[in-house]
Amino acid sequence: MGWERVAGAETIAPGKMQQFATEGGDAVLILNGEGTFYACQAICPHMDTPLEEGMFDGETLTCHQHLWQWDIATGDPKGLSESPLECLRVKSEGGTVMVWRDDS
Amino acid sequence: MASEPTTRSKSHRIVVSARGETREFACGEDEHILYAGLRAGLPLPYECASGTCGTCKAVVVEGTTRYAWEEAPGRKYTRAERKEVLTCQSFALSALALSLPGAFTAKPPRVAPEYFSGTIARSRLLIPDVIEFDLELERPMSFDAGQFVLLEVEAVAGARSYSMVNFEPESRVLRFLVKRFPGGALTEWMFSHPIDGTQVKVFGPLGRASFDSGEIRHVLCIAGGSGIAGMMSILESGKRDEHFDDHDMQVFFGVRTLQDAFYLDELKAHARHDRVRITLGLSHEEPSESARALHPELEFDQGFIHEVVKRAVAESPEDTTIYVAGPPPMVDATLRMLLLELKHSGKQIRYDKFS
Repeated sequence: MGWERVAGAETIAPGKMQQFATEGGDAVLILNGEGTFYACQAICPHMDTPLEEGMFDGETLTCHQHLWQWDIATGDPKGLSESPLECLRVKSEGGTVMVWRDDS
Repeated sequence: MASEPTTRSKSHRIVVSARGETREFACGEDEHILYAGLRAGLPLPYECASGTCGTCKAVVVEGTTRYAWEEAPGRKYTRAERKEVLTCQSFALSALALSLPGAFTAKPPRVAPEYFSGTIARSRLLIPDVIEFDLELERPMSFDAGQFVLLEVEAVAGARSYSMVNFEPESRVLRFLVKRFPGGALTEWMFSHPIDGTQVKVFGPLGRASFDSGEIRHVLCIAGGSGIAGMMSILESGKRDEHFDDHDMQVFFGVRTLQDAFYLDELKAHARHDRVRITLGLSHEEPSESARALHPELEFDQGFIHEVVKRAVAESPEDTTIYVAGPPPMVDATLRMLLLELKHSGKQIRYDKFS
């Protein structure tokens, strides 16, 4: 268990998102909602599409393949989505974005 | 693509499981697995059916497959180490057990697709880079407005998806638009040869971005260029069923300049209906006064079509079904606008990913 550093905060501009490999396990998607960082699974739970290729408006993450959507703050499904998104605890400290791993 | 399995070819049993449900069908050794399953009426997930979108992928749990099209771009969505394949581009070399990553689709298609053959007739140039042609089928096809078929001609390898322009409940003639695509093998062939009389193999109807006038909903159609094909079919279908007597129909047709527009007479005829509004969006010129005077039934605006729609449809009622078709950058920009700026739900939006 512990915080794992995944990226420099400056690498993800506000409104953008990027996928990162982690030491602890599966890749994570880091999203910057106008200064607030979010982290979730990098791969869509529907058809394994990289969510990095999707759309993000600061609140809602949309997979571009079949338009499944989630509330990024909670991972709750919206619209067409049939399953929740696994979200991770995330913090940005000293210019570094870190996610909480139960398993690392 | 469209090889009707020959009677001599070996047939294999395909068992597909998804979320605890199991279905099975027979597949000839020379038939694409997805097509055999769809022909049997199974609710298999797919979108483009032509190797691009990745929606039809499955894990090969048991058995052996071979790719019909090794370079299918949709393979980027599959992982070989997990034994994932695109079923639309694979042949079965043995009996197969397949597992889908998602679920079967909620309902099977209204009309299961089949193989047809047809002959091209009455081809004509609508504008310098768009051909319209009719395909005379050897027997009628039943389809829903907004659906597409796969077409293949002997001279060019591989099948391509085209949406029907016309609509009749049972049709012996399918009408299509072909936009010239530089470097596209089939379109280059069509633009450089007389095509009337050409034999075409057909598989369809396909696609779920279809119009059902039984749904009590308003309709918003957003098309770029030859994406207008399916919208013409929806207009015709809605008119036949008097759908627009009780529901609003708005069509936005994006082209570069007025010179690039076509079907204006047909669109004007539809726009004479009280509840049908048709807007031409010109991305590369200002709509002239003479254009407005010449086409008083149509509305005009300047800008990329997603910008035109955003200005015109700040709020569309939730009971609106939105159809989007056109070149991929136009479809992407439109989906972003609808989902992120107008905050529509994905549930309202129908589009097919092929191009």
